[in-house]
This record gives sequence, C-alpha cells and structure tokens, in this order.
Amino acid sequence: MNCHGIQINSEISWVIDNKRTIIVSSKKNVIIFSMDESIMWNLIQYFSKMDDIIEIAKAVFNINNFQAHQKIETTLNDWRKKGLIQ
Amino acid sequence: MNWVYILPILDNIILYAPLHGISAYVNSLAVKRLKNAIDSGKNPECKELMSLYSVLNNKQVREPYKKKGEIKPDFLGVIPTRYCNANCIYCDFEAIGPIQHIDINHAVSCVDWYVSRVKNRDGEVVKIHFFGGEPMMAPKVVTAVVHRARVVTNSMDLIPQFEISTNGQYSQKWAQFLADYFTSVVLSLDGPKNIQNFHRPLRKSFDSFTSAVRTAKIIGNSHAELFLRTCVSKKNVNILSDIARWFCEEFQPTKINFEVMQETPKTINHDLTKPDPYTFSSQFIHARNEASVFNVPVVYGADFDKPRWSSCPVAKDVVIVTPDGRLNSCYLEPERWKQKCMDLTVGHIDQNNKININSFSVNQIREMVWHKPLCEKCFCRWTCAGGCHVSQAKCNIYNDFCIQTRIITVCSILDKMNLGHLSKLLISDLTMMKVLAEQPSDLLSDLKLTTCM
Repeated sequence: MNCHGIQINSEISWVIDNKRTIIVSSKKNVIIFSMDESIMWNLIQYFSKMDDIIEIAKAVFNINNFQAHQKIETTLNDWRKKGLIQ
Repeated sequence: MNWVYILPILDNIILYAPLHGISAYVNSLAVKRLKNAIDSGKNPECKELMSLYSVLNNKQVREPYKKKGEIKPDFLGVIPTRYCNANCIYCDFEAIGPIQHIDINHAVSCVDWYVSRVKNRDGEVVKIHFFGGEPMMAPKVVTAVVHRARVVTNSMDLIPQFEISTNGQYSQKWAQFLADYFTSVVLSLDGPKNIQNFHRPLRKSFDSFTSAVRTAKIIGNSHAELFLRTCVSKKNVNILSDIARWFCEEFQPTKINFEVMQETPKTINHDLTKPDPYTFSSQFIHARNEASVFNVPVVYGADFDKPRWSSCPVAKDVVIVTPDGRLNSCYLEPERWKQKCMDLTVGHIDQNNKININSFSVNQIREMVWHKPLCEKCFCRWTCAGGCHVSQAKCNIYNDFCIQTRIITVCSILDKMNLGHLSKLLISDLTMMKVLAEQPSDLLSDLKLTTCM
C-alpha cells in the first residue's frame, strides 16, 4: 500500500493512498472515501469532530450510507505500524 | 399616469422621468411650456423643447419588468439561525422563541431546487445570500450550503456566488473561510472603537471592535468584495466622513453602506436616538464625496437605482429558507409582518425535503408591490419603491425615511448629471432641503397644486 497521511487531531487522520483520499476516525469506526479531496480537506480544517464532518459530507455529496469499514481495526493497525497515524 | 416629476433646486427645476430615461435641469418657464404642451397635445411654444417634449409625451413608458408565471428567484436566501452572538442595542432582529438552526438537509435541498431553476431558465449565475441572526453561529450549515452549491454548479457549468451579512465576531479561521469562498461579505462596523462597542456590544463581552476590524482586514485583503455597513445614530452621524475615510484607508472596501438606526424601546432605554433626516442626508453626501477620492461608492439602501418595483428581496421572487423550514420572501421574523396583516410566506419544505412553492402566494406578493398606493406622488417611487414593505408605515405624509431618501436621491441624480456642485449647495441649505423634501406632489401633472413654483 503506497500511502501517506497526517494526524489531524486525537480522533481524525487524513490519509491519501495512490487512488483516493481517506478520512479516518479512530473513535467512530468510520472511514470516508472522499469524492472531492479539496472539500474534505476543507472540512477537516474547520471541524474537529467526525460527527460534524460526516453530517456535512453526507449533505454535500448526497450520500446516505457511510459504511463503517469492516476491517477498520486491521487498516488502522497497519497504518499505525507504518507511522501514518498514532 | 405619465410619471414625470419636477424637483425644485435653487431657482431651477430638475425634470425627472425615470421611466422615459430622462433627467433635465431646466428653468420654470420651460416646465410650464412643457406641461402646457403635454396637456394640450400641441407642440411646445419653444423649439428647443421639442426633443424633450417628444420623449416625455410618449405614453409607452418602460416600467420595470413584472415577473409572471412560475417563480424565478433573483437569489436564494438562507437563514442558518436567528441567534446572534452580538447584543446590539438597536437590533430588533432578536430571535423569538428557542434557538434553532436550520436542518442541513433542508438547506441543501433548497440549493438543489434553486440551482435546477437557474439551469432550467438558461441562467449562468447561482446567487446565494446568508442572513441572520448571525449566520456564522451555524457554521455547519454555511459550510454545507457553500460546498453543495459548488459541487452542483460545477456539474452544470454554472457560476456560484455567495454573499453573507455578518458581524465579523468569530475566529480568524472562519473569517478566512469567508475570504476564500465568498464573493461578497457585508460586514457591520459602526465606526471607531467607542461607537462600535457602544452600538454593538457582544453578549459575553463588551468588545466587538477588535474582531470586526480583524475580519474586515482579512476580507479586505482577499479576492472577496468587502461591503462595510454602518448603522447611523445621533452618536456617529457627524463623523460619517471620518468613518468613510478610515474605511477606505484601512480596509479597501468595495462599497460603504450607511443606514439609519431604527428606534426601539431598547435604544430609548440607552438614550440612543436616530439622527435628524436632514443632518443624515448632508453628512451622507459629505461622506460620499470623501470616499469618492478613493473610488469607493457610498450607498444607501433606498438610493437611486434603475427603476424597480422593490428595493428589498420581496417581490423579486426571492426564496428565503428559515430555520423552521418555511420559505419566505422576506428575512424578517414572520411575527413582524403578521402584525401588519401581511403574509410573505411562499412555501415550505416537507418531511421528505421536498420544496413546495405556493404559486398563489408568489403572485399575491408580486401584485402587492405593483399596486402599492403609498408613493404615487413621490419621485422616489421607482427607485426606493417604498423601502421596507413591512416597516414603512402606510401614511400619506413623508416620514423621516422618506425625507432622507428624497434628498439623497436628488443628490444622486445631480451627480449623475455632472451637477455635483448643486448637490453641495442643496445640502448646505436647510430651507432648500425642506422645500424639496416636503413638496406634497412631485408629479408634473399636479403642477398647479404645488406651491414651490
């Protein structure tokens, strides 16, 4: 997996792999695969809680089902090992 | 009705016919000859008046466009919340009932509906205005509306434009958000620190000056247009020129807007009163001249403009979505217009986020301004258009709002005619201002009833 990321705050990480932008919440068990990188980057600059980001992103992108990633723990552990997130 | 007006200036007269697209500075003999010619249907006695006569005698005047058929909003208004973090002593916009933020899904549904309207009528620009309370007290709503509008307009090849009326009382980060995404920011700033903090204290602290100035600087240094809006009371009316110059030097605004404070029980408790309309008019024109050195226009809501039916969103088919999911044509609290037996609701959003517009209400509101009897004899009826349809009392005499509007509008007409020196003379002569402001009818057709000639 070729990716890099930034820990935004204690909850949220911003990760970019070679295909897509991903926002990860360690608390909410949610990963957002964004369609628009600039908007999602803007949202994490202005809102620190994942609930707020999800609420806005749902409205902006007209998405009803943000899926809780089935393998989120595995994914997060993988990224932690690589030092992408804490 | 021919809609030709006569306005006394010094010993002469401005003949003003906005629907014919004519303004002329003439003497009283010329006016009498023109009136005789129009009344009799015969050419004027004087050849030099022929071209003016033939234009004025044309019964086919260009009234402003009347919207018909399905709703065609000039813009979409969004009130994210009625709550405000400021506690301005003249504000009568305070939220009634519990604090409520608009449902984000309601707001974006309105965006989708409005954008599709613009697209269907081959429009190019999508205009969204935020009103309050203070819109930035609901930043999630503002953010969602802005980004949703950008996403859908991008997919339809339309241009989004955002405007916000705001007090600037938030962090630098949010001021930068407005600077980055908004086309124009209407920021309230009432002048130097002592005035601003007296007029516009915050709920939790006294000082609103620091944040307002910081926000003004951020917006002024960005690509967004900065419109500085000052509420004028007796406290700051005599320093409008100083305020205008300070604004121009410090913030590089696109426009400055001076509006007169409305007196309320709260202002009376604070011993704050509105300025005398003649003082306001003359100080306004001085401030306008001061700012003209910087090429910054100074405006007044009911000032000279193209002929129009309304100087506010009402009757422009504007849809304003409110925190309770109603769609109104006016941003005031509904209780305000209900007190005047008016209904300015045009629709609602249902439980499925569907927009429901009541065509009957839309047409009723359009007709309300077309048939407004109040201003028939006033030359400002096609520009001021009666001001606020809710708060301007229906009476047959000019109130303070009318007086200042009449004087400022005449000065604007003179400026447009390159007769700015006459507007300076007018505002320096109280008697002359009163003759003009109190003329019972400006209509040429009522000439024999006037006493000024």
